[in-house]
Amino acid sequence: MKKPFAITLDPGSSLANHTGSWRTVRPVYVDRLPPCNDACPSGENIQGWLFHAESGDYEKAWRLLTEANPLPACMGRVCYHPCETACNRAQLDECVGVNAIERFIGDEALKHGWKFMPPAKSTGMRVMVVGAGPSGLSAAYQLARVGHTVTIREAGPVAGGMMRFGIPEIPPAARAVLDAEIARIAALGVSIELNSKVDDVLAAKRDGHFDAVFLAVGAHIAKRAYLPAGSAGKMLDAVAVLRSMEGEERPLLGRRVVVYGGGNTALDVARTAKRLGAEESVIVYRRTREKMPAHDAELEEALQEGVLVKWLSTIREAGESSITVEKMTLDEKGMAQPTGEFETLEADSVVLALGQDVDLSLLDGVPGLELDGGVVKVDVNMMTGHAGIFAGGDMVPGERTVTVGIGHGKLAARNIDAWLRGETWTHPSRPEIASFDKLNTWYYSDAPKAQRPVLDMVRRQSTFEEVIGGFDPATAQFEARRCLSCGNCFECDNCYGVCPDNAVIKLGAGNRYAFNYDYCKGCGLCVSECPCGAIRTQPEEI
Amino acid sequence: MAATNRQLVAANATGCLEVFSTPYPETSWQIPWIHSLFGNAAAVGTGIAAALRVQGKRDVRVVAQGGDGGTTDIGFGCLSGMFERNDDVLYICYDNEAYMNTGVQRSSATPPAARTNTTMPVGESTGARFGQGKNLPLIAMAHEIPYVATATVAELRDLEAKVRRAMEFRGARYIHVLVPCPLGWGHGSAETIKMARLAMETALFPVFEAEHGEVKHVSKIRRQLPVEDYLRPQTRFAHLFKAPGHADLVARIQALADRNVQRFGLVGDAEDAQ
Amino acid sequence: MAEAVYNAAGLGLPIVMTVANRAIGAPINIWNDHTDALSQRDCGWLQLFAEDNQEALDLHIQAFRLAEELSLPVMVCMDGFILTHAYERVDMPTQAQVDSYLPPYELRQVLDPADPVSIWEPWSVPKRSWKYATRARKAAAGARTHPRVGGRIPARVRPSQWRARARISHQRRRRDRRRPRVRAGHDQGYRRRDARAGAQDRRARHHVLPAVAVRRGAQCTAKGEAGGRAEKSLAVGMGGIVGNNVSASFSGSPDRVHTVIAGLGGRSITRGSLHRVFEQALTDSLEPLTFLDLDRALVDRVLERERVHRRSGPIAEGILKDLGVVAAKTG
Ligand SMILES: Cc1cc2nc3c(=O)[nH]c(=O)nc-3n(C[C@H](O)[C@H](O)[C@H](O)COP(=O)(O)OP(=O)(O)OC[C@H]3O[C@@H](n4cnc5c(N)ncnc54)[C@H](O)[C@@H]3O)c2cc1C
Ligand SMILES: Cc1ncc(C[n+]2csc(CCOP(=O)(O)OP(=O)(O)O)c2C)c(N)n1
Ligand code: SF4
Ligand code: SF4
Ligand code: SF4
Ligand SMILES: [Mg+2]
Repeated sequence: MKKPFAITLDPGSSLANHTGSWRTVRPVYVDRLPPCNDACPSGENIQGWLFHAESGDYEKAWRLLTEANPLPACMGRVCYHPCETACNRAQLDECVGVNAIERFIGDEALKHGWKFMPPAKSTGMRVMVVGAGPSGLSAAYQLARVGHTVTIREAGPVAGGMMRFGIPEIPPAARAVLDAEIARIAALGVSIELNSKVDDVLAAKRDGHFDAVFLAVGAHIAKRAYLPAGSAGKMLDAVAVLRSMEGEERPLLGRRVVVYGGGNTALDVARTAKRLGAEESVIVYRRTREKMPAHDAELEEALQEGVLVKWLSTIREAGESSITVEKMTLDEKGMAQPTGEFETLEADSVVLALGQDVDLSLLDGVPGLELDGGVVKVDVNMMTGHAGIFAGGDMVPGERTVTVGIGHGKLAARNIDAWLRGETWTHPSRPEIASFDKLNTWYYSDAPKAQRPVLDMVRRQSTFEEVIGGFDPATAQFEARRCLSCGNCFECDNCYGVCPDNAVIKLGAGNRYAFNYDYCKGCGLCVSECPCGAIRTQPEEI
Repeated sequence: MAATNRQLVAANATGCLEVFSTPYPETSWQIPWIHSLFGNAAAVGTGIAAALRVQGKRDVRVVAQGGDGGTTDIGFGCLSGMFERNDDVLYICYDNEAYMNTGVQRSSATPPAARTNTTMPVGESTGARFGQGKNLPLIAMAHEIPYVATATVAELRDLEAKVRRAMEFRGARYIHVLVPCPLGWGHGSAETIKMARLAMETALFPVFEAEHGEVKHVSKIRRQLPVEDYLRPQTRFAHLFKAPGHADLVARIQALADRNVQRFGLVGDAEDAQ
Repeated sequence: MAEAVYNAAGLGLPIVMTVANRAIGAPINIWNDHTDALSQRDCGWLQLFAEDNQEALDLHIQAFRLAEELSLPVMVCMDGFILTHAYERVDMPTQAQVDSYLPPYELRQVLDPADPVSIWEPWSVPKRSWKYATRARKAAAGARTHPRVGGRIPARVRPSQWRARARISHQRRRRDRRRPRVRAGHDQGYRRRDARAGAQDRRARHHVLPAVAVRRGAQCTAKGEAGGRAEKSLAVGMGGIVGNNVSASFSGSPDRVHTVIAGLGGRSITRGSLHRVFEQALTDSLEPLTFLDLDRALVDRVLERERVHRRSGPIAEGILKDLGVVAAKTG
């Protein structure tokens, strides 16, 4: 068509008008650190694997998850999930049930027999890991993945550490899960030598021709309280009780059990006692509920199961079938102070759950090694004062949880790998946190948290089945979809849609977007309307 | 565009949309597009529809668009005629609640109490008057045309769906889109969508669809917010909150919102109204 | 409305619009004159004025041909009180005749999704050049279509086949060419044979009466002779609209040009009045600007009174007052 001049224009000719020159600030795509990832002691990319889970690609989710943590099925059962506490969604309605989805994915992996990728080639370096608890297993896994030859020396007859002996969340019924996840690590070529306690670490290192050592022996020596025991009343320690659950013989605790302590271990024992048939399971704790170190969720579950707690009380004397407790009061500093008031409680047995100390005997005479209040000091690179000996888990300062142990294992492995190459590993710089105020939550619809099925109360008190069940695929996917994808683009097309200048270029599924700065005039709409805070404005250099 | 497989012709009224999209000698339109006058977009649309009918091009659809001034004021006669004849045109009004292109003058879509350059709050007078103005979606419904819908830029997918739905009908159709104007309303340009969202969530701008004069679907409000949340961030309402303040006017605006809630059933669970 | 008229011309749209001419005034006037259409003479349209219903029909067909060839909109103006309200037998062309006269139209600006364009008023095209181009087009229109000028298109354009009667009368009217008389459309009271002076018909065809056309038309008269024109429109303060244009085209020529304004607001133009005017013209006693049948004394009295005592209100009221008729009380 021959077009009349001037009043008839070819389409799209306004592209010659570069609105980008109006800009004083420019939007840039960023990946902010989601608070869940930030809070995860294992350093999982939670948001990342949830993104895959959301689309139903569980294997991809599992592969990403296990970059950081080789034991998702176990973690999905035992972790205290600080990620959920940090989750932004909690400020909207309820946190995303990360832990439950993790368990689902872990179980899915076991069900389908997904395997880890073996290392491309061996480095020829030998590393000894002492202790097959979560921390040791984690380090061994990470080291094996980069091609080192790893041997785990484990004192006990089975691997798993406290996860196997202690934690009631992995009852006998679920132990197969633990076994399978450990077997999967072994399949990477990690050799696990059972019943081979290390008594002298330097000797073991020398004899085994190891280039480096990672220590993760946990904390297994029960702390004792000085109790004038009036008679040979039944006095047990918590870990021993829990450990004995593993064997054929169930411990005999009697009808009325008193547990002394306020940590998670105390709760675990008290609940175990209930399940073993105790009519009464009473926790005696010095301070108040607010001060209790145990996780509130655990306490709640214990209370539901009929566990009783005597707050502000200490045991003064343990008799044949009763104990004497003294009432306490809190001073201004929140410390428990005796009141002089006494009370007697019936008790067939007293279980002490006052914490554990580390058995440091294998470290005797190791030069340079430093201790810190009964635990081994390590530097930021997880190395002890003795070069080439690293340590992690319960035996080093810090929180004593499985996920912390796994995190230590991972971190130590990175450092050992670097150290073996004569380098020093540095933590990549952390991106800015995708805090709640960075989100535009209007775009997310209301969706309350999916609940994992909970075993009926009666069955909980009497059996050693798993109290909390797993998700079915639909629920897991629903729950994964509740994730807000904090700080990381999930390709919602919002920026693409709202940009008044069509300055957002779609790079195709999975490839996200780019800005066309020729046309972006820096209005900031995309920044405000990105639901997950994956765009930042940055001043233009003029 | 996608709704018609690009078989679309557009007529445009004078206003910001036209001015920003066609700074001579350029155009951003990818479809055949014509601007004639401020007040005759509907008539031009009618003409194009008639021409297409004569040529037997039933697959080519016509859209006419204008600002609130071009629609509710000067173009109203043409538009009402287009409705009344049930011409096969989709008319889209981009409502920024004033004559923005010429520097913020009041239109019959300007909300009460809003400051514009012709409704300055001076002394006794407090911005645009209450009880004036037109509700064009309702007027369009009164013509009993096949399809009337409202939408905002805060929900682009909803808008897209409504355009698609509109294209399923033949005859006169009307979509009224609320488009906040940072300059005229006095808010940050990055808050444009937020403002539209607040207009919705405060119930000041009900979002619904109507067919043949009957409301068929209402977008429910998730949490009805007080109108103040919407008014405060806009400088055109700043005089309501500056000392001594006009709590009475804010209350009257709230009453308008509450009336919308009642009238359109904006709050509640049921997806469909009526 | 007026804005759309300009817009159509600016976009070069080949629109043909029928305009039923009515007087416009206050408080209301339902009668006929040309002020309405001629007030739009600067809008960039061609304006054709029909004398009778047959011509109205013919002109529409011609108008389409003009509009399409020139890409300009055309108004076909016809009397809005007598012609539009009268039945008259007309000769209808057949479809084939019309088709042979009106070739298929090739559109230049098409809103076609297959080849999209944006059409709108060019904001920054210098207005002058654009207006100039429109003017040139209109000049071309005049040159091509005026019966006596250009000659090229008129021969092809005039749909003469189906117009036996009207055409003959046209011919007859042209017999005396000595004193050209420019008129537009239908003049009630005017009859060819009554025009003693043998006035020649020059229907004002297109606005602006293309100077060249009028001039050349006038040149067929002997130099220095009187020319006259009667028109039914008035530009307040300026005289007749047609007249001004004709005068402008005669500027620098020795011809004397007279303007007679008649039939404003639908007032009848009677034979007697016309006779008087023609007599005056022939005896050179006609004023350059004459209002036909104007009660000069009455108007003068009213004006005098207003000079003495200013008062607001419609002019008509003052006149009625003078006549002793009170139609409405305005206070
Ligand atoms: C009752 C109880 C309940 C708990 N519940 C939870 C819970 O629900 N969630 C949670 O996250 N954490 C829980 N914890 C804490 C958690 O179990 C530990 O923090 C975690 O297991 C520490 O891992 P680790 O690898 O450092 O040590 P461990 O798990 O203790 O493993 C150390 C391993 O080293 C072996 N070992 C020790 N000495 C030697 C040696 N000299 N030579 C060779 N091998 C040796 C041990 O046999 C053991 O297998 C609980 C702890 C207890 C006691
Ligand atoms: C007949 C006429 N009057 C006035 C104008 C000047 N004018 C151009 S755009 C405009 C305001 C348009 O307001 P609106 O329709 O609300 O559109 P907006 O610019 O707000 O998008 C005006 C008054 C015009 N172009 N034509
Ligand atoms: S919403 Fe998702 S990404 Fe955000 S903190 Fe929670 S789990 Fe992490
Ligand atoms: S919305 Fe578009 S123009 Fe505005 S800042 Fe983002 S990319 Fe730039
Ligand atoms: S708006 Fe959506 S698509 Fe754009 S960056 Fe944010 S998450 Fe990604
Ligand atoms: Mg507007």
